[in-house]
Amino acid sequence: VSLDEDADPGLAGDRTQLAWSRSALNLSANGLLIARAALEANLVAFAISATAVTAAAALLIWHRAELLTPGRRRPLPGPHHQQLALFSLAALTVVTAAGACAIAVW
Amino acid sequence: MRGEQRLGTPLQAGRQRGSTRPGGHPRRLSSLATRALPSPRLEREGEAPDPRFTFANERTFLAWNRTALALIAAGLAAAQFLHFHLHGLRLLIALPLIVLGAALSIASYRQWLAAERSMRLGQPPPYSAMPQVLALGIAIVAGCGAVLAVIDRIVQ
Repeated sequence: VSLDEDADPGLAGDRTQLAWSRSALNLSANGLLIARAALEANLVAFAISATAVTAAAALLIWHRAELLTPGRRRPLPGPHHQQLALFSLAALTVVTAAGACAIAVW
Repeated sequence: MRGEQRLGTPLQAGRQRGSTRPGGHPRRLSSLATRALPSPRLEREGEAPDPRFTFANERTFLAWNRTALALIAAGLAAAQFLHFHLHGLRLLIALPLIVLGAALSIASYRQWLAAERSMRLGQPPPYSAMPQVLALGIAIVAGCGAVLAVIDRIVQ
């Protein structure tokens, strides 16, 4: 399956790519909020972990967005890749929630 | 046409049955997502739907996940910036928001999987209770916030 611009008048690939970018911004903002709160509580290791999770999310999202770039010569990845990407994002969100819970209780 | 199928045309079922692995992910890593849920692999079920529908389903998941992240951020902000005279009252607002966010994220992944499966099998989209749960959760937290604000005022 290719994503030629002329074959995709609804720009589904572009919109999905932008949706991933917005998710990346959201996740990064959460990670940085947790890192900031952890630093204020002198939890340096926690802050580093939160930043690492944010970096992992950014890498995942960059990779997924790159695959969805319109006009790319390689074929689109299959459903297995899509499932892995979405599962990873949901898992990172749950990890972020756990970190937020820990910081809130602390 | 480059010998590839374009969007808007029906896909051949065999194209996306996992015979090739364009993403290049190791099999061990990619099987983690499917093992997490008691369901068979997606590509073994039915036929691949129109990519536009798959993208729409993916964007819906992403929108729900952003809502979950917004709830987590709101909970974190409540924990950081709310100041009640009674210690711990802020947790009554912060923790439910964060837990609701985490639950919403898991539910959105399950909903995406169910919708993807129904599309592959040519079935109607599955029912989702997530909008009602979200609305009810936000209403409860808002109500609790109002009650706690009054209690805090009285204690003061």
